[in-house]
Amino acid sequence: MQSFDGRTWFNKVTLNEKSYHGPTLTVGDDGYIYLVWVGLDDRINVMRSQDGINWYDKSISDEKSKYHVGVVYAGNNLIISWVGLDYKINVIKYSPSSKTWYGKITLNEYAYSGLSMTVIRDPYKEGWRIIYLVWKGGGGWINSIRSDDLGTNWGYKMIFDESLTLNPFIASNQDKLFITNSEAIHIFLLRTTL
Amino acid sequence: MSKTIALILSLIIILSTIISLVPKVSSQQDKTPKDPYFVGAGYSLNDRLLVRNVTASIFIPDGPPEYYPYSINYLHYYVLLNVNNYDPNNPRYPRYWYQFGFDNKFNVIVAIYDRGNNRTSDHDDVVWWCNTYPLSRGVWYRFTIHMLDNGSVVFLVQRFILGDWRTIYSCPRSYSTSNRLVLDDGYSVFEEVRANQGYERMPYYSFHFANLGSNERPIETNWVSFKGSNNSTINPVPPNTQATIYRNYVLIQNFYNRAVESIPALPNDGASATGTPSKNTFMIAYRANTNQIVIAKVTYKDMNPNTDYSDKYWYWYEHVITLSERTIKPPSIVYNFNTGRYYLAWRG
Repeated sequence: MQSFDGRTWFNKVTLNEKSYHGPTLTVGDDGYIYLVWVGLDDRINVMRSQDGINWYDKSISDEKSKYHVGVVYAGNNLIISWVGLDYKINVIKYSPSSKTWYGKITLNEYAYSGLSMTVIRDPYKEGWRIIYLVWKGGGGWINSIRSDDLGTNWGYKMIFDESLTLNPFIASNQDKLFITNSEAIHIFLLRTTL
Repeated sequence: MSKTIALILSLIIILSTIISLVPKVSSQQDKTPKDPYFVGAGYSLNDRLLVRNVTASIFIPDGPPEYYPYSINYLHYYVLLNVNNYDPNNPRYPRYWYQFGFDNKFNVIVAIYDRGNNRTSDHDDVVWWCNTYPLSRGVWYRFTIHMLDNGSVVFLVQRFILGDWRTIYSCPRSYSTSNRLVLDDGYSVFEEVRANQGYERMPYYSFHFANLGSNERPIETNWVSFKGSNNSTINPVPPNTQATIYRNYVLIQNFYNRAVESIPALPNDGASATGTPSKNTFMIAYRANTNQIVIAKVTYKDMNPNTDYSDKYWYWYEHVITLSERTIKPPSIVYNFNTGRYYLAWRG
């Protein structure tokens, strides 16, 4: 469903798709809203919509996960990350125009949570964009890693002094990054300026 | 007449008192704690390498310097390229080491440390300085420490202008024991922070070193992250601060805005977040213990160096609504700038 102010929500739709996990939304530069989820068969699915009501162009990947996935739209593609059945983090690109999945890479990183991604303007290079990915790593610490080339290469790994989270999430707003993390009765909010 | 003199004398006394309360700013040691902490990356190649120059490009943040001229509790930091001069008579403990970078007012800083012939002290070295130079914001500069044939050292700052790196700052000095720099565990790039523990911890910027290299290894990838303090009881390294590395790039990230909000019985799902049309606001969505979806808003302020620190750490958490919709997994929220609407998806 959708809202102008976060307070009043409308246009609820129930899709005929099922999942054990939470879905992930992102908005593309092409005007579409993308919905990515893990089906009951653990495979990653994509659909898109222009109005948030009618959803179509469904595509199913061969890749499998048992956690919710991370997704951003950058460079005319969806960049989708997921935790494989071996707990390794994977990244793949999905071209909505051709409905093709390509460029899969497997990072040498292990995750024990769902993944979350965001894209932010590169303050150092005009017109460039940076993708951040966060997850819960070994020992329960929040980890982040980033890509300066639309998801092909990843580096700048950071291990935060924050542990015992289940699902960290990340968002961006202009030059700010924002990470949320919850534990029992607290929600932790982390912010930085690039 | 006597009343006028008395009034003038009173004014002088009052003014003198006020002036005496203003902290001294003439000496660096007067205004900064002596125990700094460090966040950076050190050279990790096992073999010692002797080179003629080392180079790092450094980005000057496109924002106001975090500098408080009228406050006692203020923050001083340096972003530095750090390397030893090779000493053939004492390779493990050279006499000179060089630091090159900028300070919290974005002025070029050069420091040449001289341990003397007896190498007796680490902390009371003689320091030779160069003139400072103001750098522009939002600009990349290339910093080079270069050893000349005659053994002199030159500190160069270049700026990319009209397709070419042009030297805008040069400081030659003769303090050296050879015409080589040593790349070993004494070679590093880092942020040195001298902060009053009772208040400030870290500048709000992230600092980026790029294109780290030397004449022998133009793309230098042998870096390992470190952080530490000369006195961790006085100046502990702030949490969620780290030097992160990608190839020959080092980015010092500081998640300074940590906040903890108590929310009764929040399940351990996490809270999905999205940016909003307001530049310092984020909307979040999470599952409450009733399995209902909660929407909340978090607002920050921009850092305002002309006032005080309160804006830097100010935030406002606002519960927006608890929806009747229920889920057993984290919901996903996103804002669409094209339609001006938030979208929410969840597993029912």
